[in-house]
Amino acid sequence: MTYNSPNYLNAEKGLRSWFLTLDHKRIAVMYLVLVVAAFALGGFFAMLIRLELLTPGPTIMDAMTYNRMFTLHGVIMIFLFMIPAIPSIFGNFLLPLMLGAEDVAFPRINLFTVYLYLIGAAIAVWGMIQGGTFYTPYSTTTVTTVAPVLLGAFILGMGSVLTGLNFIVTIHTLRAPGLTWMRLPLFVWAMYATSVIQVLATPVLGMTLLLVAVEKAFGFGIFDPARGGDPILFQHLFWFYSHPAVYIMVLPAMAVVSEVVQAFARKNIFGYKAVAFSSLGIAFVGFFVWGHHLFTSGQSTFASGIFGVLSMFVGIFTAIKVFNWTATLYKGAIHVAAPFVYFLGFLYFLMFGGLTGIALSTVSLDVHWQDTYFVVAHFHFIMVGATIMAFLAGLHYWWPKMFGRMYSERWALAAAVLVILGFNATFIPQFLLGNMGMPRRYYSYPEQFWSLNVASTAGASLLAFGFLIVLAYLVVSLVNGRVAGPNPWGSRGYEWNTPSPPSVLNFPETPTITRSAHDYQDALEGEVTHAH
Amino acid sequence: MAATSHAHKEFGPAQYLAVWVGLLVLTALTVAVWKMHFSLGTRVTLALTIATFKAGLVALFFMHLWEHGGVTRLVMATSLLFLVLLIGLVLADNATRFQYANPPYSEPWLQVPYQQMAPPMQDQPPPLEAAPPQRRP
Amino acid sequence: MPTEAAATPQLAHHFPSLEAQEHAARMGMWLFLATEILLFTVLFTAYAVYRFLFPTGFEDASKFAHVALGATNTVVLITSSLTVALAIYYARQGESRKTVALLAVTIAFGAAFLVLKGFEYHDHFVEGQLPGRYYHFEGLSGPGVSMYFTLYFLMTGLHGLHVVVGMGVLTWVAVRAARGDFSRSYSTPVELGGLYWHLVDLIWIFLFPLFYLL
Repeated sequence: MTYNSPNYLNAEKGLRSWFLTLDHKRIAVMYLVLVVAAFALGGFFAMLIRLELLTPGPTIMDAMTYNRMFTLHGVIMIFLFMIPAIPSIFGNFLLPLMLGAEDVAFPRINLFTVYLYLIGAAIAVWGMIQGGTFYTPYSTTTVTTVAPVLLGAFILGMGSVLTGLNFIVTIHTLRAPGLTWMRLPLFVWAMYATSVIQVLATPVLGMTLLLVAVEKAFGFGIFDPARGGDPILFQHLFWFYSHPAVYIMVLPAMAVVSEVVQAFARKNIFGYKAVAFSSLGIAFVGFFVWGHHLFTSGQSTFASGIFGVLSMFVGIFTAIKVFNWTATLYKGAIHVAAPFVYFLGFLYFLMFGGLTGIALSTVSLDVHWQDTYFVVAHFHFIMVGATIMAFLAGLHYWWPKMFGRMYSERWALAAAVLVILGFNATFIPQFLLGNMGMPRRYYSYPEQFWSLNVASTAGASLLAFGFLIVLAYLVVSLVNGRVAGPNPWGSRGYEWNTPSPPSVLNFPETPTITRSAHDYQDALEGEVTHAH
Repeated sequence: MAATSHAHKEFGPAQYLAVWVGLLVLTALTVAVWKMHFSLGTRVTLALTIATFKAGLVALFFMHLWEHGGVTRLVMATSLLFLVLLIGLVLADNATRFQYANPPYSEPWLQVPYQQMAPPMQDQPPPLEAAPPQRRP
Repeated sequence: MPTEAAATPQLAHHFPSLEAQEHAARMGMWLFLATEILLFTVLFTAYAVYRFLFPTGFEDASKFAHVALGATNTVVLITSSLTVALAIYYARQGESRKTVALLAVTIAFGAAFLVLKGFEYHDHFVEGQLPGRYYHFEGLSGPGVSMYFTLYFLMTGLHGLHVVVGMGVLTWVAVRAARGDFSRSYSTPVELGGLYWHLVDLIWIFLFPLFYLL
């Protein structure tokens, strides 16, 4: 499988060859660096939050500073990590490889999105250091500057839209001969669904933020009751994007998990079509449920009832996936490596995060839990618990493909256990706190919440330590890691039919696909290689 | 090369002119309807229906959706579905809200009986700078 | 494949054929148009909500819209859609001069639209029919009235911005056509520019009745 071209990492040297590259693999690596840096920054603010919450009164900051801390933490984590991470890193790197293509459909637009990310991130973070919030009427009447955050988010949104657009066109037009829709890797199906959401939902956010900026700057009064405006309209428009946005975050995680579970159970997925179509189902139904963020805002109870019921439907598609992934393990030949441990963590966190989500969509219960730590724990279970576990699973699974080196499995297993335990220690106390009534976004709290907050901060420290260990051994592996061959896991995924790391030219000639991805039971004798 | 692959369906200047005439006719029709002083509901329905036909003509023929079908039709249909979804559900919310949760002095068309189920407010809402609604005689 | 690449330098290395590339470009443009539709959806939603909440205010305020100018602008844009559709047709036939001429006419119509819009805006400015807190027209006041003008300026303003962008895009395409960049086998940029212009027309087709006739 070697042919005469250098790999994509060392083919061209110099900063210009990276900053002006059109190679989707290099763009993916640049995103990896940027996104991990953003995660570290968001995590830094998380630690500041948890430090402040160590004592009931003020600990290390005042109320206004605390507002800035959680705003920075939230916006950085969502817009600079969760939304771009898996699509811009793994989507960019793997889609052409999985499709048998040389690159994505629009490589120059792909490069452009990297700069949109950088510029949007810089403006948004700079703005948030001065303070800012989105909800009207706070955002339109506050003395703090809101415009930079809005502008930064707008620019980041443009990058998201262009990435989604690129992927949809790539999947439609650059599939290799023989690669029918029903032979597509499940990663591609879920990335397709994610891209549809990115393209259709993000413009709504962009325009809504623009309206807030215009209202703040010129006093047009679209959301101002004194001029006949409706502040709840802002919430409708904001959540029309922001709920599908959480599926932009979770669908790629499910994409990764579908790949990892097949490779590490060495078995075809149970129910390929169900998993493939449930991705589309999540994307579609996800657009119908935004009102569950408005249950206590003044929205009519009639509308709240509708949204509550619709929200439960989304759970059906997730349940299908969870069932099918679990069924895939049955009678599989399980290889317990770091990606698989992260998969197990993912499954556990997705189940509990998802179940608490269904509970929250019950209007009568949400009235008690809204704006408490119960909601915070719920979305952290899904976002950190499920999505970041999947991100780490994918990072470990595809690390040898991207960089040609294996990481240290012992350190990886230890770190995985630490991360999963640390996560539980951080967020299970928060479910209890929320149920007891501790509100979100408060820097001080009554004495009775003290011990659980200390437990949560201790857990967060463990979690942070775990992440640092992961970073350390991954970076070390770039220099000292065992050289990985083309397919160290023995996976049947199409992307493993290339050298590790791949060459600049993905394939010497366009492959013709004659089998489905991950066909362990159907592969011929001698075709399947074993992990070594 | 692009022309030959759709040769049998390719539209020419004559067809485009026909579409243009159709659009002008529909524009005249929509202005004529305006002059006829129907009730607001009828006017909205007629105006949106005619506008939809005009948009359909532009999309199908000028924008070649008729020829090029497939995914692009699905993309357009989905966008329109979400447009209807957003507007529909938000209006459903405003139509069924507790009376004073809507902006002050608003008069939503639909008087859904649901609103009457809320207990009457004890205090009046504070006066605003805007003058009360000017009722037409 | 190498011979096709040599004959048609516009073929990118990762596409198997020029037809595939054109198909991809068209799909990308349609997806971008979908994002524009969703962008305007936000404003149409605001319009729907506030018209629903303030039927009298909106109806009274819309009497001050200049229907004659609006109708003329509608005809202008519809005709410009025709000319750009013809420009695409002639580009596909390889007739560059007709393409350039028709694109120029389209751009002129766009300019005419903006001029007429400018007259309207000027009138509203003079009367004091301005958005939000700048509204100071004495002839009409009441709930919803200033909201009508806020939405009017926001929606027609954003639309006008798209007209300007569209004119810019078509100018660039016209320059390329005049340079002889297009032929029977390659005229994708003309088609993509035309699609954007048609979207601008589509949005106006809805803006006209909503603000002028209801």
